[in-house]
Order: sequence, then C-alpha cells, then structure tokens
Amino acid sequence: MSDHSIVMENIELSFPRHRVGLKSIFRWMQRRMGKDASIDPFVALKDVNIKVKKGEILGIIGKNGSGKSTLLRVMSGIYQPDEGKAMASGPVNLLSNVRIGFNGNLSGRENAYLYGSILGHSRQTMDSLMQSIIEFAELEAFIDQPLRTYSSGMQARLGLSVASAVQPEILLIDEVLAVGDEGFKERSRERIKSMVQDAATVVIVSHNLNYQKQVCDRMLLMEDGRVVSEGTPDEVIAVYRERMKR
Amino acid sequence: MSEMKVVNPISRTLTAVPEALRNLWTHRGLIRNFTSRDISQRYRNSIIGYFWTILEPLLLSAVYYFLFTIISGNPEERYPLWIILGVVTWQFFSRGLNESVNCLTGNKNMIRQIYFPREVFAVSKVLAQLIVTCMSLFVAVPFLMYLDISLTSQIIYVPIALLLVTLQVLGVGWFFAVPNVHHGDIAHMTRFITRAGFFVSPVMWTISMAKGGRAELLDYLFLNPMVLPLELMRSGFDGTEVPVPSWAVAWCLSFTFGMLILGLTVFKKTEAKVVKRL
Repeated sequence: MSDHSIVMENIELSFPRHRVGLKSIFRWMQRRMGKDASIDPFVALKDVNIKVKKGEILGIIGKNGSGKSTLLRVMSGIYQPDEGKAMASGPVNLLSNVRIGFNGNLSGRENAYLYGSILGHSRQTMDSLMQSIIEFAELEAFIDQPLRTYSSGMQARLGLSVASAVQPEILLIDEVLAVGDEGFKERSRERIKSMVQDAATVVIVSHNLNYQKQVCDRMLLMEDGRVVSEGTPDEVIAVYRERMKR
Repeated sequence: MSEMKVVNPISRTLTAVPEALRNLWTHRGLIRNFTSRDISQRYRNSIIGYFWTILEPLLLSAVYYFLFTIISGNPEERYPLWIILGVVTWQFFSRGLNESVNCLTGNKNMIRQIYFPREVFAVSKVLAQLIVTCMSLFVAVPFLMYLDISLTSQIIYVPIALLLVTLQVLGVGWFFAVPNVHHGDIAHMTRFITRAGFFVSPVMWTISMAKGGRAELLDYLFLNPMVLPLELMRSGFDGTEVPVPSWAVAWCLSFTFGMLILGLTVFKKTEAKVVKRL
C-alpha cells in the first residue's frame, strides 16, 4: 500500500554501441585473455530514484540528451530498465508524438480511429468522442479527405485532439504543447492544462520553463542521465540557470 | 490506495504464451484496425484495385503452366487448378513470413513512441495476408466450373490448411523477429527460405507427380512442414485423398504448434530488451 502513482528505484539504462556478432566473440575471447576489449555502452540513465505522489504534477528539465525522454519511456514501459524497477499504480499514458500510426492514404476519420485504438480506446469510446474530436481539431470540412491532403499543422491538430480526448489517470507529457497556429496553440495549451489538472498524476518534460513553473508542484533537473537537483520549481529552475551559465 | 505494479514486466517462461494470448484478445480492436488499414492501403493507387489479388496469382500460374508444359509435355487435366492453389498458398506463406519476421524492425517508430503488446504487429500483418489470400481463392471458381469439379465435404481441409500456414508463419516469425533486430543476416535467410522453399515444396508440382521419382528421397520431402497445407488445399477443393502419410501429418502438426509455442515464448522473453537496439 502506498499513496504513490509512480515509483522508480535505482533505474539504470544503457544503450549498447556495438552489434552482437562475430566480433563480439573475438572481444569475449580477448577479455578472457585479460585484455580490455569491451566497448563501453552509452549510459542513458543511472541511479534514478523518483517517487511521484498521487495527484502530483512533476516537471523534469535538463539539457538535450540528459535522459528526460528516455526516462519517460522507461516510465511508460517502452524501455525495460537494465537495473532497478519502474512501478506504477495503474496504466501509464505517454503523450509524445501525436501523429503515431498516421497514414497519408487513410482519411482523417480513419486515422483518428486508428490512433484512438493505438491509445487503447475501444471503438465505442471513439464513436462517442468522434464529434468532439473533429470539432476541437476544427477539421469538419476535411475529416473524410485523405490525410496526405492535410497540412502538417492540421495533422498535428487532429493528433492532439485524439490524444487529449480521453482523460488518463497517469499522464506523461513530452514536449507536445506547441502545435498548430496561434489560435490552436492557445486552445491546446488550455486543453492540456485541464488534462493536467484532472489527471491524478502528471509528469511533464518541457523546455518551456515558464509553463513548468506555472503548473508543476515539484521539479527535477537531469544531467547526464542522473537527477542532480530536486525541489520546488523556483529552486530547481534557479539551479538549472546557474548550471547553464557555466 | 492501489497496489504498485512493475510497468510491463517481462513474462515468465511458462506464462508467456497465455499472457500473449490474453493481450491479443484485449487488443482485438487494435488488431482489427491495423488489419483493415493494411488491406485498404494495399491497392489504394491502382485502377483495378482488389482485382489484383486475383489477377496476380492467375498471371503467375499462367507463366508456370507455360514453363511446365515446355519441360514435361502434356500435364494432367487438373494441373492448372493445382498450380493456382499452390501459388496462392505459397504467396500467403512467403509474404506472411516476411511480415512476421519484420514485425519489430518494420514498426520501430511506433514501438519507440508508445507501448502496447508487440505481438499485435505480427498478428495483424499476417491476418491481413490471410484475408487477401481468402479473396484470391475465388480465382479457383472458374477452374472448378471448367473442370466440372463439385465441392465435397473435404472443403473443410481448406480452412485447416490456411490455419496451419498462419500458425507456422507466426511461430517462425516470432522466433526470428528479435534476432532480426540484431542482424541483417536473418532477412537474407528468410529470403532464401521463401525462394528455395518454393522449389522443394509442392507448389509447381504435386506429391502424386513426385511419386514416380526416388521413393527414399520422398520421405525427406515430407519433413518440409509446408507440404501438408499445400496438399490439403488441393484435396480440399478437388475431393481427392490427401497424399501425405500419417507420420508426416503428425510431424507437421507438432512442428506447427511446437514452433508457435517456442517462437511466442522466445519473443515474449526477449522483445522488451531489444527495443533499445531498434
């Protein structure tokens, strides 16, 4: 029993730099003979311990390549950690790319159904949500046209509209806040804000510090795959700015 | 207050298969959507659309028929029917195997961005091939009418044959899907299996035609698990006896189900760790 939604214990994840093949047999033999022939893997996450309380909004910041997105992928089960355990109290929804599975030859409606089922929604759910999805994406006139005739902004609108149609319990967001033109951007920010407020637990990765400051209860700073700072948004952002100067 | 659970844990060896089957059942809506996407997309830009599913095996069979008549003179009356059933079944096998072996490498963008059970990919791809194959089978109708063959209760062999091919393709595909991420060699090997297999399987010929050859070699031929489905297809349509000895039937069935269980278990045990190599 716990009042946490996500618990990550001693997570370690590294990406191999070499392929398994004949050479790896030679390297293994060389190592047996006492030579150092191993190729160091790229360590993406190391000693990561995170506990997210139920109802908490956690922000993660850090430079490019510091392991933020990888961390979300471990949380959502895409990557299995090499060491440690990633645990959650329920299904975890990752919102990263809002155009997953999109296919140019299918109509907007068909793509919406497909994306919905990828997100785990049943056909009945999608049937009942379809009208509001189309309205929110402002695509009434185009919804039965093939997706290849859409502009990239229209595609992104459709994707975000589907992705945000159902309120998940545990939500992970990876930099999807800025799509479409100014008008839609504003509405999508509102939509995500309301998702964030309604979801039991949220983890947000973003470079938009002002946004993070507004919504987050707590923040983490990541550097080279480790959590280097943790605390209130003001504290962590101050540390981040300090470190960026160096 | 709810229990904390490890996110998408790797299956235990013994529960891998039932777990995968349960996943497939709960994701049946997704499988259906993927399958219908594949089918409707296949002939999207062609003028005669679905007609290609029939025309393609028909043209191929015509070429083989022509070739075979040159080599061995007058073939039997039913030979055109046999060859077209052989071609349709073999196309299902080779395309299905190709799709299922590439089920991880071909979907890397989706796999890296969202989690759902990855056994869904191979099943939906192979199902799409199965449906296309069923549509191609209508090509047999004019031949049946021309040869004046009426269907018997043996038609039940046809779905059995298709099921056997489906399960074989999935089992072998799952077994090699993870190695295929590591090495390009697997893709070459699959291509070889489908090309060489075409000749050592009764596609252009039948078991009854081979009976005239060396009998002791024929036994080795029955080790090929595709012999039974191919011959079941033919016997299913024309009502003749299945020319496969019972030991070979038993071998084919145990290969199919053994490979399915082995392949799915290996897949479930290893796929999670290979995602970061995609």
